[in-house]
Amino acid sequence: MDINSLFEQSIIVQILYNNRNIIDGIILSELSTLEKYRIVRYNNIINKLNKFSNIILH
Amino acid sequence: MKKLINILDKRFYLVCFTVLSGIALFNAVNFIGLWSDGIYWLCEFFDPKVHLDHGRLFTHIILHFPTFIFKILDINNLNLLVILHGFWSYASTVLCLIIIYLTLPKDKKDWVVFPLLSYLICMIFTSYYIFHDSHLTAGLFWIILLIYLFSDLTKISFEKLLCLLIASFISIRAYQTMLFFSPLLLFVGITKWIKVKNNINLRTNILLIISFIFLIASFIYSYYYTVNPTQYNMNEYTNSFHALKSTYFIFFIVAGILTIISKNIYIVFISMFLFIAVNIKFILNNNLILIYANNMRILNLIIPLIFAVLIICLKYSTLNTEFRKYKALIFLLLITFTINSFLFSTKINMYFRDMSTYLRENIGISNVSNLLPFYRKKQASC
Repeated sequence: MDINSLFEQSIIVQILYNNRNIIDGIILSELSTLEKYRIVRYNNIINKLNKFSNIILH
Repeated sequence: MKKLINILDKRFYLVCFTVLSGIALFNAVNFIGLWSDGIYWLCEFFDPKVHLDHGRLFTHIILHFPTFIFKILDINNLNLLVILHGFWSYASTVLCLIIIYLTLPKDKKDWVVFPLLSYLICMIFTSYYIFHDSHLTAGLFWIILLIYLFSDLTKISFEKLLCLLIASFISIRAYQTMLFFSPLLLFVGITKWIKVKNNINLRTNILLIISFIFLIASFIYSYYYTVNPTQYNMNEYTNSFHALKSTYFIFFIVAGILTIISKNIYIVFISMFLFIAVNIKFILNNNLILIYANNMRILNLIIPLIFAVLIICLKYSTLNTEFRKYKALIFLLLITFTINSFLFSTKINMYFRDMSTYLRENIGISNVSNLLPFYRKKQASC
């Protein structure tokens, strides 16, 4: 499993298991290794599921 | 006990399909759809467009079915999406097996043992790679092969022809394994068609020819996408042959073959015992699944091809096919697959639970290199 999928897995797992509206933690090596469309996808996940995130990805 | 065995024997295939559907459901509720490749395909739900792999376009459309439905109905229930996504990735191939059983003539139902055996061997070793396009392609291959082999083409029903056409159409862009499957299917289909074509009505003749055209297209597309892969390098396919050298796998295959071919009752018992022992070892040491799941995906090509050649040889030979032996092996494999699935998906669920706890306790962006020891430890415990 590559870092991009691990990043997405860490977001979905938090939403499913923590039953909270806030994403507090993600697993990421460094931002430059993350594919750009995955960051767009990350924002889509937050918006579509009406969640808040304390993680800011630039 | 005897009554139970009788019921099991009479309802053998119903039991098989029910258990396989049950496994799909159990895996699904344990969020197996988040494992390995599953998370990638699931997260596509959140993209404005679903990115489909061109080489495997049609199987990907089928496997994205829950995503499409949720998108159309504008449902954003993540729990339900993950469960349906996990369930469908397993159930789609089980559906193929049910179609195979239904399309076989009444007196030839037992030939479904070969697709079942092939399916179970592939699933036991590779199912936790998760995204099931290669399993689904093998399922399509079996549907087409058994219709060509066992249906009386002069009396074939429209429903069966429709199944044949749909399966051969999907196979055009299913998986690279069709490069090897389609020539065999064409050989079997055309050979049988040539023998009886003068006794077949025009509509059936046209529909059969269309199915051959689809299979030729399947060969051309599979060749193109094997030579120009969209995701993988060619050496990833060839490398997976090395995984087959595993001692466990060799024992598993040898014991299975010995059980089938032995005539001597003692050798049958010994090989069956060995087969059970190897399966128990796999259950007890089921973190082997993690090693095999990705490396052994080549099995989805090899196993169906071997069983297809065997089925053709047996059909045209005078040898008596002892279906009871095959059923006994299927029964054992079904137990192994059930226990392994239950153990493995429960462990995966625990792994996700631990992961969520870790993330809750480690707020912010965690560097993966610092987490590697944690994940290795967790994965080893799976």
